[in-house]
Order: sequence, then C-alpha cells, then structure tokens
Amino acid sequence: MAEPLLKVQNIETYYGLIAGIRGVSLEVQDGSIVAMLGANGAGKTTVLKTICGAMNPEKGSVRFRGQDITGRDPDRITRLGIAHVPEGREVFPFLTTEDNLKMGAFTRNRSAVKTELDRIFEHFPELKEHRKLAAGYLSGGQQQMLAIGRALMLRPKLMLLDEPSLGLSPILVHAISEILTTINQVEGVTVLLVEQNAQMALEIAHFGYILDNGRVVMEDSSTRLTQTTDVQEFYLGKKASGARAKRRWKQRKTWR
Amino acid sequence: METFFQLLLSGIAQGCVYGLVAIGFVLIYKATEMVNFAQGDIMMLGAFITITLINHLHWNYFLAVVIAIGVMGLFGLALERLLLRRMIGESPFAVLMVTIGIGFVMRSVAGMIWGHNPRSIVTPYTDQSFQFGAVVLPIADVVVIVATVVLCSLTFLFFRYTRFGIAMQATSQNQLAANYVGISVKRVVAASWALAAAIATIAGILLLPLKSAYPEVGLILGIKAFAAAIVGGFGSLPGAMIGGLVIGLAEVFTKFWVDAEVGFSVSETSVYILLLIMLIVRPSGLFASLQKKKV
Repeated sequence: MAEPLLKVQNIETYYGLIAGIRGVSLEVQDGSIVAMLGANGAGKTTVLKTICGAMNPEKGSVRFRGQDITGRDPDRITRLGIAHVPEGREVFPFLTTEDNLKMGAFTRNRSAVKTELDRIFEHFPELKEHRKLAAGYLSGGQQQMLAIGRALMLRPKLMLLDEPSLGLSPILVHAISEILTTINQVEGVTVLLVEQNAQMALEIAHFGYILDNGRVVMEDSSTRLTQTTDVQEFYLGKKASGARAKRRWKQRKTWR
Repeated sequence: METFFQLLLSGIAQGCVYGLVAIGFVLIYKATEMVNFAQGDIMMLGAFITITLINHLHWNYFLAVVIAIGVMGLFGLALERLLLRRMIGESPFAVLMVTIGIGFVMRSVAGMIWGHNPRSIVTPYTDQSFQFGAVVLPIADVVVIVATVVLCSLTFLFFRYTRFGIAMQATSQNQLAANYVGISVKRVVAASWALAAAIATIAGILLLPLKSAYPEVGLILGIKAFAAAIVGGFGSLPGAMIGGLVIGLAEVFTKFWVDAEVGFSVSETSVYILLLIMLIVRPSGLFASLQKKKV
C-alpha cells in the first residue's frame, strides 16, 4: 500500500515530567475519516497537539505526505495543509465572524478568500446571517461551526478535530457529523477526529483507534470496533444481555 | 478666555505625546502580555538620533525624521529578537526586570554619547505661530496634534482593514488559535515591537520643539505615559490616547491655575494623583477591555 497521508510513529510527548502519551503510532489513509476514542486523560488531545506542532515529542516522528514534520512550528505545519479545530472552539472573540473566517485563509492567496467564503457560507448559512457580528456573541454551536468553517478556509488536505461535539445538543451533534461526512465525501478532506461521543464518531469514521493511558490499545475498522464487547460496554454504554442483565462493573477491560 | 484656549491647545499637544508613548505600551502588552518599561527610553533614543542627524550631520528635517523612524523600528525589532524572545516562557516579573534594565542601559549609553545637557532642534516651524483673534497658536502645538490625528487614523486603518493588522488583533485575542490558522506569532510579536518603537520615535520627534531632550526625559515621560495607559484602561489603543490627553490637560491646567496659588509644583504630581483616583474609582480604566477579554 502507498504511504498513508499521515503516519505517526511511536511518539512520546511529556508535560514537564509527566508523560501525556507514551508511544503512540497511527496511520491515516488519504480520504478517510479516522476516529480516536478514549477516556479523559487518555492522551487524545496531546496526540493532535503533537501532530500540529503545538507540542514537541521527546521521541518518535510525524510524517505527512511522506515528509518528516516532527517538531516544526504550528504555522509552518498549517501551511502544508493541516487544519486544526481545537478543543473548546477557540474563536477570535472580538473579530467579526467574517474576519474569523478570513483568518482561516491567512496563509493562502488573497484571491482565494472570496470564493472560499462563499463556500463556507453555503455549508453554514447561519454564519452568513451573523457575518458582521463579533464571534464572541455567537452561541456555542455557532462558534463550533465557525471553528470548523475557519479550518475549512485553508482547504486542508487533513483536518484535525478535537471534540467538535463538546457541549452541543444532540441535534447539533448530528448536524456536525453530517457536515464532516459531506466535506469528506464531496471535498475529499481527510479527517482525524477525536471524540468522547463514541457513538457519533464510530458512525461516521472508517477506522478507529482506542487510546488508554497514553497508549493505543485497540485499532480496527469502525464496524468491527462497534461489535467488540469492550467498546460496546465501556464506550457505547450497552448492557450485557443474559440471565443477569447487569453491567460488569468489576470486570476489567481486556487490554489491562 | 484666551488663556483657556491657549492652555487647552498646549495641554492637548502635550497629551498627544503621552498618548503616543502609551500606545506603544499597549501595543506590546496586547501582543505579548508584557509591559515594556523601556518605552519612554526608546522615545528618548529616537529623539537623540533625530537631533544628531539634523544638528550634526545637517540633514534635511523631513529626511532625518523618516530615517530616524526607520532606524528605531529596526532597533525595536533587534531588541525583541536579541533579548525579549529569549524571555518567552519566563515569569512576567523577570521580563519586567529585563525591560527596566534595558531602560537603564539606554539612559547611560545616551548620556555617554550625547552628554546630559538638554538639547533641541530647529524645525522648519520653530517659533512660528498663528494669530487667531487674541489667541496665539504656536505651530509646534498644532503640528503635534495634526500628526497625532494622522498617525492614529493610519494605525486604526491598519488594524481594521489590512490582513496583517487583523492577524495582529487575532493573535492578541487568542494566541493558540492564531498559531493554528497559520499566523506566525513570532512575526506578530516582532512587528508589535517595531511598530511600538517607531511610534515612540514619532512621539520623541514631536516633543522636541516643545521640550528639549536629555537622557532621563524618557524615564519621566515614560512613567507619565504608563499612567496614561492605565487611566485609559490598559489594553485599549483608543483608551491609551484618551488617557494621554486627560493627563496632558490635567498637567497643563494645574500648572497654570494651582501651582501659582499654592506656591509649589503640583503639576508634576497631578498625573499620579489622577492615576490614584482612577485606580480607586474605576480600576479597569476608562475603556476597560480586560473584563471582557474572555467571552
């Protein structure tokens, strides 16, 4: 098989002396949606931050389109076509919605901005209504749309999304998962999605990784992951059926 | 009545200079969250370079002004690149001490080069004035005000409409996100220092016909401008300008009305009295931006 779009090999990243991730490897094939699941503190966000250059790994390498990008500055990595939608939206609160979006295309040719803007407003008509409003006044859902739209302004090859469903209503979660599917299928954007909402993530993803305590503990196609007992119990919240239909509270995960 | 207008004009002119230096404080604070206490000394150095170009090298006034602004812009860049960039991640107090140290070094080096006697320059408009009814308008004051208005408008247009200006705003609002969209934060910080140094130089050049320059002028004026920035609400550019005007007017009016009455100089302390009142009554300043920093 050809070299994957993104290849992360054995990265270890530390917060001071504390290991955030201890040896994570993963691959993202061009054109796919890959989900990364795990409990709080499993190291999902750290993996994304290491890929986009906000944190430097002690060991290991990150390769994008066959090029070693380990430890480069985030702005240079963005220029290669990796857009990052950070956790908790992180819009520019006092800039207008439109200026926020324009900043997404900061690294790109000026002439591209206008057409990109129209494209984003097509995806998110709500943002068009509020284009002159400071982003700080948008609702949480609109801010999340804005963060995704801002990332799309780059016309990225790869999009890193950190918990886009965080704090959103089920309707908005559904809307966001639809948008992700659309941009993946129509525009061919490859997506690496970090989620707590395993149900939503596995529904739209082709492939999934499960992180626990800084390591990858399972990796498989999302259909197969969904059928695994462990995933069903610990991430999808299904109960074991049988004579004693109760949860195996005490049972340990098989990989521990 | 004539005196009132006369004082008003000279207070506004004085306030413009304070405001320009205060804008430098705010620019650097917004980009880096550190306070540059050498801001006034940068102004002093800019003034001295202009003096040298005009008095000793006999350059044309306008050419000297342009070159001085350019040189000081580069000086701001160099300060950031060589000293302040190494301080990223250090405690704010350490950074503060570094900028105070830079100020000390600049003052003593300026003293060695130019001596400690007050100096000034002859500008094309020195000692000229308009007669407006009974009011005499010194052109030096008018030039300060007009130049400040032009400069503030240009700064506003830059931040509001140019791509890099908006990127600078974005960086000050959310540094992480700015980095993620591909804005080089290092470049924005460097640009802020260059801009702050250039604006301080303009303030110094405008100050020259009003007052003479000596190595400590930046320290005294810098503290007053810092007070102006706080009165205006640290973190707001228009606020810094308004704060400068308030302080300039307070100083000029107390000098004329109060000093003669009480027999000693209240005007020099009026700035700090005003600062104290402001901190008690409205600690966040006239144009508070801190309380709405995170939405």
